[in-house]
Formats: sequence, structure tokens, C-alpha cells
Amino acid sequence: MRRHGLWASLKPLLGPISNGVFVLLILVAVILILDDHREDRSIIRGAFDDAVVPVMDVIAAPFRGLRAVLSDLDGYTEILNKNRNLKEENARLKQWYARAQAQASLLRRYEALLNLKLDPPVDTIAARVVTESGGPFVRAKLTNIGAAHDVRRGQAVITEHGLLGRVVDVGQNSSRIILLTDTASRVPVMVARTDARGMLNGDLTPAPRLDLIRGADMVRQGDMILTSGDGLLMPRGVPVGQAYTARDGSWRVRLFTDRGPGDFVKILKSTDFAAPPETKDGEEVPLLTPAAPIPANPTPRFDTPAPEPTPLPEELEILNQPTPGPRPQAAPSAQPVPDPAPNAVAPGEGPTPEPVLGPMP
Amino acid sequence: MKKKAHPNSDLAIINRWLMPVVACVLGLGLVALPARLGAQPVPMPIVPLIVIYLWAMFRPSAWAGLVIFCLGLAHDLLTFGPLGVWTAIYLITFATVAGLRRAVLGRPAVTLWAVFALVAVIVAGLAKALGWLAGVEPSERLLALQLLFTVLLYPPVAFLLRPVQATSMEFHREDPL
Repeated sequence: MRRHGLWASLKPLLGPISNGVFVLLILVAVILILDDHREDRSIIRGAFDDAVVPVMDVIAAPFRGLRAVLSDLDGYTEILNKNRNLKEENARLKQWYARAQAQASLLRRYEALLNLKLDPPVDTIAARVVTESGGPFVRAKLTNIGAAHDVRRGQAVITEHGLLGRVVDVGQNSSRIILLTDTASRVPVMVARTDARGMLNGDLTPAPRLDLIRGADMVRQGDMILTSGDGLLMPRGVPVGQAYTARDGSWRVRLFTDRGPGDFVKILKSTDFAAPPETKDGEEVPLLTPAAPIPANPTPRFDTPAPEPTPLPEELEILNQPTPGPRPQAAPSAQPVPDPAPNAVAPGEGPTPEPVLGPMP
Repeated sequence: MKKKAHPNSDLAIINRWLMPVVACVLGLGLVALPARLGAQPVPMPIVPLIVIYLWAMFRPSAWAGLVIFCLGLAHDLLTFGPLGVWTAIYLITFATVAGLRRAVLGRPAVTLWAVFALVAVIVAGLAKALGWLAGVEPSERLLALQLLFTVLLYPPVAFLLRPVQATSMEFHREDPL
């Protein structure tokens, strides 16, 4: 056979060539390993992810459904144990809620008076997780939105439970999120109770390590861990998890995001939490921003009813009783501001917050 | 008696090329599936490793390296792992098994399975070493679990890939590798 004859004559040559090809390919692979920085190959990885997203979306669909069912079942098994604790917690929280309502009411009045723009909200983009890498090298998720939706590298990603990770790679219609449990994840955090600063380091275990906490008794079992905002890449105060001591004595954080399947995420659009927000024409907004100028002699409008105040529980009726010292004024729409003051209230001239309630338990 | 396919017949080409490649691609899809048990990710078996082992053992080919390189690269990209690690592991596995196949061929299937388990141990060591080269320390527990699942999955995958293993010894003697 002619074809076979040609093949047979080529075979002695192919031996050394194929060996050479193999050695060359292995060398190329090793060069790739030595040169690889997962976050510096956006073009290759981004293009590949774009191509993979629709395929994996279909393949992984049954797994997503199954995972949601398993997650529900997992939740049911804990219901009995949690029910008792929740009842006790609920009773405590009701007291806290009442106090928080009172504080919130007071805060609203102060904000209306001072026109302070506090902690401006960050725009978010919702994304669906298409697939997830759970191998021995990496913890990452692939989402179905990318540069076309204004996703950029470094943006923080949250779920309804708390911080999930950050964007490390962006394609046109896909983006990779590296999770807090990945070895490449380093997030500055703080202990909510003590404000002690630390670093949350992923090590491919389900609970990342909490390092660099200084001082004695700065962190306790069950302490809530939040992002500290240090490094200015993430907002301050995003819930991360609860601290606990591992068997080896190290502090670890049980992540809040493990409470749900995490199929839907929100990507925070900003990557710089140092600069104040900008207006549409690029002009910076000062932190003390008058929402609306207060007229010098505002005329009370009696034709529009004043907004209904949030009903307070009976035990908090104390708020409605006169207290010694200056009391905050009601909302400008309800009562006129007697002082024809400028936009912001100067320090010392405004109403001094009075401790309405005793210290919280 | 059943007639064996000629090395250059269409059937032989399907057995030699198409079947392993398709099996590897499907296996990669399995590796990339987002399996979780509660909050814990469940490592999926590395089916391409089984296919590459059988491919190298029964149907080694001069140019398989290029295909395996692409499959390894796809594995790294799919799992967002350090680029080149699984590429190198697949290539080294293929070359090693192809070099040792004459000592193993013709033995019972259980022996082939045992040799595959040994290959899995070597792969674990390679993954650890190459991960260290890439600056990413792999999770030993997950790596061990993943390879254990792979070894356990060997018999059914080998059964499904019988056409790859149906070989003629003359054909092997002519093989360049």
C-alpha cells in the first residue's frame, strides 16, 4: 500500500523529531509556569473565558440547581438547632431594634439639619456566576459580565451575605473573581468590636487565616470581621465573617458568604475608595454637601402634611419628652429653621447630641 | 474471528486520535464543573489524566504532544490555575508512560490500574513541585482527594475506552515512541 509505504519510510525520521517536539513542549510549559502571573494575562485568559462562558453556562446548569437544593437541605438540618437560639436572639434583638429605631430617628433629624452627605453609596453591577474553580491550586469564580459592562480588575465583589473577593481578570463578556480563600487573596480587615487591624490571607482552606492582629485580647471567638478599607481598594465595613481559633491555634475567619450558594454576586464599580465621589462633569463633591439651600426665612407650608414619623415603641416615648439642653429641630419641611444660617452648621453652634438612652447592653 | 483495523484505516484513526481527544475534552468539562458540598468545593476527578495514560500506553503517537499541550493549556485556563502546570504534568505523564509501556503491556488490567495509581502519585509530586515553581502552593488535601477520585474512576473510564486499547502489537513495534 502506497500510503503505508510512505508512512513507513517517514517513521525512522519521526522518532527523534517527536522526542524533540516533546522536550520542546515541556520546556514551553515550564517557561509558562515560571513566567505566569495569573493577573497579568488578561488577554489570553479573558479571550478564553469569553469563549468558555456560554459552554460552561449550559454544562454547569444542572450542578447549580443541585447545589441550590443541597444548600436548602443543609439549611433544614440546622433549623431545629438554630430555632431555640434564634428565639433568644430575637428577644434581645427586639430591644436593640427599638433602640436603633430611636437612634435612627435622631440621626435623620441631625442629617436633615446639617445636610451631611455621609458614606455615599457605591454603584454595583449584578452578575451571575457561571462556574467555579475548586481544584488544588485556585479558588475562583467565573461570571457572565465583563468589560462591556464596565467591570474592571481590582473591583470588590460582594454577595447578600458579605465580601466574596475581587475581580482579577476581565474579558469582554466575562470576568474572573478570585475568592477570599485563594492564596492570592490578601484583604485588610478589622475586628468590629475592637477596631484592631489585621490581614485576611487565603490559603485554599474554607476559612482564611487572620494575621497581624496586634495586642492582647484584640480578637475573641465569634468576633465579627469587617473590611477595614486600608489600602483604599475596598470600602470600609463590609462584613467578612466571624473569627474563631483553629486547632493549630491560628485565628481563622468563617466566611459569611458560605451561608449561601453565591450564584449571584454584586461587583462594586469603584476601585478607589479614597477620593470623594465625582459629579457628572467631573467636579468633585465636597463631603459636606448642602442637599438643598435653606431659605433665610422659610415659610411654613401647612397645605402639605408633614411626613409621618416612624412609630416608636412605648418604652421609647422618652424621646418625645423634653430633655434638658438644646434639642434637635424637626425636619425643615415641617418647621421653619429659626436661624437664617448658611448651608452647613458650624461646629459648636449646632445642636449637641444628648445621650437619650443609657449605654447599650 | 474479528478482523483488526489497519493502522491507517478510518477506524484506526478514530481510535487513535478522535476518541482520546474527545474523551479528554469531555473530561476537562468535568474538571471545571462547580461541584460543592455545602461550603466545601468538591475536587472533580481528572479524567484527562486517565485518557492520556491509556493513550500513551496503547496508542502513542508522534504528534500527540501538540494535542496534549493544547489540552493541558485548556485545563490551566479553565481552572484559572497557574499557566503551564497541568500542561507540563500531562506532557511528562504521556512521555513517561509511553517510555515504560513495553514493560507493562500484556499484563492483566489490574496491573495497569496499579501502575496508573503509581502514576497518580508521581503526578501529585509533580503538581507540588511545579506549583512551587509557579509560586502557588497547592492544597495537599484537595490534590490527594482529586487524584484518589481519579484512580477510583479509572476502571469505568478504561472500560469505555476499550477501542483505544484494542491494539495490534505489530502496530506498536512500528510506533516512533
